[in-house]
Amino acid sequence: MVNKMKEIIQLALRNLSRQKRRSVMLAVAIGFGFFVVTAIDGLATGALGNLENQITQLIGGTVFIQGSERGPATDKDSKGKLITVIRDPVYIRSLLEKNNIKYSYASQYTSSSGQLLFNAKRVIVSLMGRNFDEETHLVSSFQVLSGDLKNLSQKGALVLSKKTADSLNMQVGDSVLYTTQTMNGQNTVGEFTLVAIIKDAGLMSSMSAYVRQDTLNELLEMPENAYDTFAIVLADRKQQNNVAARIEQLIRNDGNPVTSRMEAFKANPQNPSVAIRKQLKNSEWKGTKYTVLSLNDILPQLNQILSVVHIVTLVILLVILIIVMVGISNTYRMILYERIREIGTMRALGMTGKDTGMVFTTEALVLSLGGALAGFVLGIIGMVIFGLFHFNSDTMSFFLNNGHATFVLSPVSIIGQYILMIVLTLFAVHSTAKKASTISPATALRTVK
Amino acid sequence: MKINKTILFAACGFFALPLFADSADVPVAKDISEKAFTIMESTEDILAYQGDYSATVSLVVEKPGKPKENMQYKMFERIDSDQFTMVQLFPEADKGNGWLRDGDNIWSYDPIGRKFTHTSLKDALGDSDVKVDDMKKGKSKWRKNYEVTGFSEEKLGSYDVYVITLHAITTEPSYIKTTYYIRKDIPLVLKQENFSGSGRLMRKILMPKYTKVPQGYVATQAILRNELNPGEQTQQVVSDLTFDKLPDRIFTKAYLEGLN
Repeated sequence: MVNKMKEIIQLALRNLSRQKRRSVMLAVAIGFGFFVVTAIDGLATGALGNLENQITQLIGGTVFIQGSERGPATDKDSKGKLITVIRDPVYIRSLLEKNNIKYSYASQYTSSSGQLLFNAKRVIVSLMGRNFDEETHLVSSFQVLSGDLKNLSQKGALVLSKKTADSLNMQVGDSVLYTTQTMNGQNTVGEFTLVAIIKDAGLMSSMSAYVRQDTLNELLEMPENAYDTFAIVLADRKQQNNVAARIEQLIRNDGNPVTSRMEAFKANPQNPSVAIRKQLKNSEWKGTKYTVLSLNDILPQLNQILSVVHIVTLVILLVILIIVMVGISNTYRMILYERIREIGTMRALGMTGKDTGMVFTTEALVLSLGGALAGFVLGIIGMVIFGLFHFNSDTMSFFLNNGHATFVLSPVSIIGQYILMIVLTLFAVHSTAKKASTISPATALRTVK
Repeated sequence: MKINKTILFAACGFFALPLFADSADVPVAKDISEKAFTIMESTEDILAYQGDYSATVSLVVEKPGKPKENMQYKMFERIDSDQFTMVQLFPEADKGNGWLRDGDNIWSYDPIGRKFTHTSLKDALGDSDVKVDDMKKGKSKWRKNYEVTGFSEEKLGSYDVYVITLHAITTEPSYIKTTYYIRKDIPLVLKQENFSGSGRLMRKILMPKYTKVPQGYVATQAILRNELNPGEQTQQVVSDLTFDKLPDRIFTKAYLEGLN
């Protein structure tokens, strides 16, 4: 059986080499299709991955737990102002540890948005109050361009991205005002000293500025150990929805008020985080009400875009393959006619009809697989070369990693594309192979070309 | 839409700016506190803004390193029902931009796209110099939202004034601490200073000129000064004031659409 298969493959390869130009042209057509699809799929997935990385870096994780309190009602129709704060410094962390929820790292931070004001220049930033002593992963990720991270221990220490520092024309050692609102929504201002300027990985990360958490808490009039977000980064991002659901249930089981992701998905499947905000707005509770969200909940568009990219590339591949398969089908009909007497001779020497058909099918499959493999390899080479270019565009920087395009290939998607191609190839040569297998040796030998 | 929301609501808040002060974070004695609140309430009673009114507001915005910007708006307000309509008159490029307020809801109108965009009062004021409590009227807000932490009598220019410092006790006020300088002879606010929690002066509003009309007093000139950015200020001048009853249709979207 193995020997027979080997012989069939050898025969198929020999046949392909007899008409090299024709075989190469067909393989190139298939290869081009796979090159285009691999490049689009890989670069688009890489671009969205970079965007997700930047957002993860900006907001500190892939699963987020926040706490909300109701301020005192101001009149009978009011439910009281929503205040985002978690006062218990250990509850969430111990809950995750107790229930063995694994993560790469966690941040327990305070965030605020406001304006930096320096010499009449203003820049809007997202100011992150981080615990630099504990968050070594964050500090080690800073690529310092000027200044010294040792000065992070200073009370009013500020770390800015190069882009923000340049916008304000600030140098290390300069003092800057930061205007924002306190936890209770009242206007306030703080003064910080720039201790380090760091390299920004993209436009989004450049919008973040970092200060000590205790300093920011004081400015926002939050208790010293309080924070507004507990963010965890998972080793496997695909688990973010499952982990978020589990944490939400654990908080609920503990008897604490918590918003419902499931209800949010029912109410607004396109944007559950909006529905979560509505849940908070419309409900009343005592103490802290927790909200658990995954990055997918906050930015469902990322997955939607990725799905659209996969569908578009699949359609492109399908169109290219159908065109090529029409060519293959016609070519093999022609080949059958060209080799009809050869088929008759082989059949007369004892080759079965089934084996004759198998030669045609194998030939087409080898051609397709070879072309696809070449296209795939060329696609990777193309993407690697494209990734060497540096782009300075602000708009594009959302999708780049340090100014460079990156690519990510999905094994499932690639395997799916190969299966599709094999099925179409089998379909394209089916009638030719069937005809070759059913033709009698006498008829074949009698045929005059 | 090019209109600067900051300026717009500064103009809007100017009419509602009730009253204003300095600090010391310890509450004053009860009798002094009572006196201070009574003065604060009287600053509202004396203003002309009751019922309907209309006015033209001219703004001059000055920012360091930038040329002065001039703008002009026509405003209509119905105090009793929290309704407000404003139309931009100048510069020509922004003429016809409109705003409509009904309670806490605000719609902005783009005459080119002929579209209304809804926003809440809080959102609209979020990035402006005028804050939510500037817009709120009602004498009860003082006692409900503040405690008096400073009371003194001083001289401001040629006027004898009360200097009253209020500290927020609820989350409603936009600043934790505000000092008001109020004329002793007529309870008119001449100056307001807003401070951060750390005591830093953030904003100053000067009201050097009032006009007496039959309905009461109107601050016809005000200067909003950003104390964090020296040189940045907005001057407002109010003219063409009328206190006649306004037609209901002015406070409708159709009115703004019909202007263009």
